[in-house]
Amino acid sequence: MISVLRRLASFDAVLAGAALALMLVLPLIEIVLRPLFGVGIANAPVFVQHAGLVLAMFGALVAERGGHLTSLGAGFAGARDARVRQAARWYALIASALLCGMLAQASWTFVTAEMEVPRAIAYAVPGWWFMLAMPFGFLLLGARLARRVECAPLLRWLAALLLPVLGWWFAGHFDGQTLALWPFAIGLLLLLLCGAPVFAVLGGLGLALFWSEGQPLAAVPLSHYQITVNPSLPALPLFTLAGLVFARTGAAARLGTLFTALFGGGVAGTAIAAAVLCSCFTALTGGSGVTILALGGLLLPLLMKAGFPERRGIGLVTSASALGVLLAPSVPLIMYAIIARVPINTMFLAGVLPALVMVFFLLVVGGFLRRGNVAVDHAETAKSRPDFAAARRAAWAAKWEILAPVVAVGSLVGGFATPTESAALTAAYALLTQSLLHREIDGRGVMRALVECAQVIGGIMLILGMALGLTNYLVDAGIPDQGIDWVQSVLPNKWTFLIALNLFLLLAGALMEIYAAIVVLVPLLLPIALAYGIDPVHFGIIFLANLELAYLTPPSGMNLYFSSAMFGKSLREVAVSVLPAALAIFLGVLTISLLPFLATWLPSVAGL
Amino acid sequence: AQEKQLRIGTLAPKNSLYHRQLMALGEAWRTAQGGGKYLIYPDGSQGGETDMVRRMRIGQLQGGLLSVVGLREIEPSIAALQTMPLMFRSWEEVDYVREKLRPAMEQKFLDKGFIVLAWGDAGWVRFFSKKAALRPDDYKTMKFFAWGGESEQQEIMKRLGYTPVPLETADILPAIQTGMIDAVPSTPYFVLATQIYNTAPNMLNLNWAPIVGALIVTKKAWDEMSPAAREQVRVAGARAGGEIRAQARREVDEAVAAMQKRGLAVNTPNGEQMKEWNALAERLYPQIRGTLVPAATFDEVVGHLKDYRAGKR
Ligand code: NA
Ligand code: NA
Repeated sequence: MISVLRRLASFDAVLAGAALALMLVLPLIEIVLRPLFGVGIANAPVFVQHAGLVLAMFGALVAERGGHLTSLGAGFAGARDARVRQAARWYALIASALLCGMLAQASWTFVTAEMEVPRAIAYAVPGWWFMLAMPFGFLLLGARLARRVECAPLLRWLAALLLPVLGWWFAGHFDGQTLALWPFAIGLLLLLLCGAPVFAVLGGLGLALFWSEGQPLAAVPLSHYQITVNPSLPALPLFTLAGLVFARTGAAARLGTLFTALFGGGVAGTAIAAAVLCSCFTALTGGSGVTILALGGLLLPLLMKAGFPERRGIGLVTSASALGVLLAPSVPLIMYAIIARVPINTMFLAGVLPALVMVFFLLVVGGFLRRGNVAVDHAETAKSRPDFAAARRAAWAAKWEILAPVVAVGSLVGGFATPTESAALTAAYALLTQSLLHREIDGRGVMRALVECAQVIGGIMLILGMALGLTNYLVDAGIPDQGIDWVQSVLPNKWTFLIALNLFLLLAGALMEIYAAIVVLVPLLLPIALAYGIDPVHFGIIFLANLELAYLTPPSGMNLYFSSAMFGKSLREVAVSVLPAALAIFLGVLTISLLPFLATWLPSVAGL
Repeated sequence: AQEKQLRIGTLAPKNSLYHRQLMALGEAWRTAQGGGKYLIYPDGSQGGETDMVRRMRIGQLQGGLLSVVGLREIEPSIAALQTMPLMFRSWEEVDYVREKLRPAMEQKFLDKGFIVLAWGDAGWVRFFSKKAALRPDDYKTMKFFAWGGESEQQEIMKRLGYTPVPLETADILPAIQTGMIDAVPSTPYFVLATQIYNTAPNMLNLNWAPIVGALIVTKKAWDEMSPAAREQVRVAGARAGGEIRAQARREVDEAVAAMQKRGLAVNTPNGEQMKEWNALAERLYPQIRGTLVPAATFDEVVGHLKDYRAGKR
């Protein structure tokens, strides 16, 4: 009985994992079928995109179950006073459950509009079958959040049942009417401070804004649908899957050996090896805290052995893991290309030099190459020179991992594959090399990787979808156009704009979730940047470089949380330890902003 | 009471002729209405055409200036004007058939809850490719751009021995640059605007099919307008339609001329090659009839064209 219940509870993982597996397999079949027979699966890309919707909603449910839905820290829910803590938790959970009910109702309105004029995706399967994942998923999400309210079991079940229904009723009853914004605004701000999931706050804000104009609430789920079934979006979960597979096997250790052999084991060598390795790994794993989890345990001992004090070591690993956002095939890089409608391969090339600049600034300006107060062990220095024989051996051992970026970027730039297919190829490559050649991941491990990826991506996509609802409101209200006029009246030229842009993004990065920042701010800021004659590719690089910094700025800096969990240090300690690195990175960001050729030169050489 | 609202979406670029015509229409509406909120969303800022139709259905938008790609989401038989290759030989033929179909078509849109305010065009679809090509068989070695959402069209292409690569419009440029596709069926204006001609500098001088569009508003928004406003909007819509059609006719030649200056090769098929193209079209028609275009509408178009050509001779 218990096991049946447990299995029922994990049906979300099964569904999300199956959707992801489908997203992996279908493009691969297409790659084979297309050149051989000229006949593929009818509408395979659209199928894959809709599988993404299932992955997003049920992946989010898995994330909720594991307590992995992103919030901006605990806030009041982490207060000293037990009563404040309790009240904050209650408020966060109850209000989130209500908001989920409202989002479910708005989604249902959208689905019914679609059901009236059903449209088959392929093989007579109507699109609304997939869309049902939204109202259903939001209701379940609301119920699960409500069930976390700490009270008697019976009350908890009642809350799980009633709160989403109440939210549903409220949205259904008041949809189409004009409601004042300020009660929502205050309630949502408080919700954010009480540690509620970011998606609920963003979704609630989207609903409230459309309400304030009397516009239909279904615009929010429609935008969520629009971004999750975007043709380029399947690349996100698939590249993430590849990164997770490498993170969960000996790949990290093999690459670590290679890089330390290449750069030597001294202060400078270890620091360079750590920075380069973290950047490359973040590029593969999509810039979440996965890098810290995968490499932190490996690199910190190495750095300390080279003579780094613990604090500087933590500072380096934490900040270097934020770099790599600019390196292909990082998830934010792809996200930007999608939102700004810039070719993905152009962005891939544009990021290379700025990524190197950022590593340079971190190491040199951040002072990680200086011996300084590092205790130098002379016996160790002899061993610390680059050892090319060892590097060759290590490179041979890590040959499959080294080839992964070639598969990812090569298939795309070479024109064999669409972004989705290239990502599927990379994920399959990671799975095959690590399971068949290295034998470090078995069938169960593959399942675990699928579910873990679904959970990471589910959480991100939910935030993305809600953020896009918010963006759609801004477009709907004509705010980007007004913004251009206002900014141009205040800032006289390109250079003042660039400085202001960086300061603004520094602030925004501290307060906003990274993916939400891309979805909400790029459509707002890009037209302004274009009006100042800034290249969209260069703007993207500036934006993403700022995001690297945003991983390190409290309260929303994800790397600080991961690092604090990984190394068992308080958030304050970690924040202080990354301060010199963050300053160096900020100077790097300014340099990239003021030297456009760093971003535009390589793409122009490649003729893109 | 709430302020009256009219929100119109389009893929047409900001400050283009299309955008300016929509602004003029909005002024007419506002004057007749005595104020109100009129917003145009150019550049696809409210999403692709399919998304815009969805936003109209939920009531977020009240109208759109759409091509057949979006319009067929509402009424599939509209595809008769755009997806029948080599059916129309001139704009006059397009105009004649459209005028014949119009009353019934507008009634069909009304039944689905939409009012057609104006009919417009956006040019002829021609083939742009990396290598020069003149005969239908020349294209068999090439990979073709195809709209991801249109599976039937891809099926037909595959059956005839062509290789469609389903993509989104935004993917065309990178795809042709990297060699994922070698040929793009598109209007010259779009190829000029997106600079696809730099990578695909060969154009087949053959009017494959017209791109046809319409300005529509939801019946709900229409019913909420005062009779005076409806009258003004009708007049402004008709004027906008006329301007847009005239522009489309000029635009094809202007765009081709502009690209020729920058190295576009225009390849015109000779009589023998034209026969092969027409033979291909004849083989296509039975596959399009009843799938992409409802059989009854297909036959109607063929009948009207026969009448037109008989009368002209
Ligand atoms: Na941050
Ligand atoms: Na597609």
